[in-house]
Amino acid sequence: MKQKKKAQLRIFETVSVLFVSFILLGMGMIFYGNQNQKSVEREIEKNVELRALNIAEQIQSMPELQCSTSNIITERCFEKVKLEKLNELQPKPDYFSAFGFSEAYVDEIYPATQQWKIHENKKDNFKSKITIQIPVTITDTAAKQNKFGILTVGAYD
Amino acid sequence: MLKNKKAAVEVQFHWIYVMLIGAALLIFFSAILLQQKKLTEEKRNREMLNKIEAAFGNVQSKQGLSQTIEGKFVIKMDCATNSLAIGSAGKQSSSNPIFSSKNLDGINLTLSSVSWDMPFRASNFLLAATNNEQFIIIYDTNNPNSKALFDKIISVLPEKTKYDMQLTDRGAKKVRILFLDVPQQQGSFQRAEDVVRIKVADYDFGNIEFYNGKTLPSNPETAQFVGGASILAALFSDSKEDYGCGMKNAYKKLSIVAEVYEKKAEEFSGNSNLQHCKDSSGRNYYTTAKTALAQIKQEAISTAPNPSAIYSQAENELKPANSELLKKSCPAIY
Repeated sequence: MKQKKKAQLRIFETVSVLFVSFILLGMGMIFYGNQNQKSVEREIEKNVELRALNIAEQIQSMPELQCSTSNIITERCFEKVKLEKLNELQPKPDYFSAFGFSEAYVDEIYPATQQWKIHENKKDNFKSKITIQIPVTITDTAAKQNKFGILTVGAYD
Repeated sequence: MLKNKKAAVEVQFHWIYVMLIGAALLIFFSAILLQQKKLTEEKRNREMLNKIEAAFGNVQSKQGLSQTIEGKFVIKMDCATNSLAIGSAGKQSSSNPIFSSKNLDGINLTLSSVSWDMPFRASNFLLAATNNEQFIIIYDTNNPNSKALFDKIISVLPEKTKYDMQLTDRGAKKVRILFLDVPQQQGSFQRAEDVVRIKVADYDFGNIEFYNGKTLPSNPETAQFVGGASILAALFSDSKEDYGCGMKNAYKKLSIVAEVYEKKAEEFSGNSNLQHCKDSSGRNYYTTAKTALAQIKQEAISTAPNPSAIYSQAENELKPANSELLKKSCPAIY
């Protein structure tokens, strides 16, 4: 009877040690999982930001939008007539293979205000969206006038 | 006796229990380690892809720029989906056509951009190669056309592209040889897995002959080209098919740019402030440019674009019209 009780105590002791060990292990895993999740989220955000910058850089170097005279390119400049004509093209150029889920607009902010859409492919269930804005010049070639504009790029993940 | 037997069974069960728990713990921690290893590898691949994507963005935004990324690379390029992948991590590549080996495997990746002008800049071709690729350019100093071709190619060849001028075996995995109006030769490349030989006799437009394989095939595969940049595109491609795929993307881009310029010319031709931009016969330069651009666009969207027709419109109609517009202080087309 006494021996049986001793054995029961030993089993209880083992089970308790295992229980505490698994609780500690579980807590450790939850903590690690949370940290990992945060690090993954930070990584995703960084990647989306990088993608937005990359898209902005690509848009600024598109010959169908860029300001040029005899193939000499003006940096951070869009030709107004090209912005208008690109929007008139039928069918619209599909930049999805290059820009993926993102949107890009050029806004004239002075003297007039108007907007030209370059690419729009919104994602419904996105984890992260980063929007960047870059000041640009919009040139009216025929009138020989420069206007202030903003290139806005929003990238989704 | 019974008690002793019971104790012996108990001891055995105790060890079985210890072994089971030990095995379970071992499996559990091994699974975590393997998962961690996989995650770290994926993270490293993603970081590398981001680095490459940033370099692509940087290089393609400026014409004639070269950049080398240090490290060991195994990149799979897919022209059809316009994407690149390292391991299981993949990304869309760029809005410009990329010409490279399908498997970029080696140390140090060099990315370069070459402007494809028709005569306006239609696109920046991205050329990618690792140091496992050897470039050879063969020309004949006694042949004036061959020498002229060499001078033109050298003027557009990305500055970081090292090349030999003899069929020297440097032990590279992939050898790319450009024959400039000289007979093609086999060469001896013992360690090469693949040898890409292309031959051209013109610079502006014409045919490219592909003689691929370790042994020289008797009949070449032929493709067409327009512009010096497309000769380099063929040199950096693995085969006629890969070159064709890249050029398909290039023509698609050309059709968009040409159409935007066509509409620009159309608008300017009707602009009352620009009516002085005419030649001596009274023909508006913008109308001339519009007609040429419409034909370039039409060729670019056709299933088999005709390089000579594109070149003829670009050089004989559009280029002179643009020069005259600049001389008359009128807004240029491109």
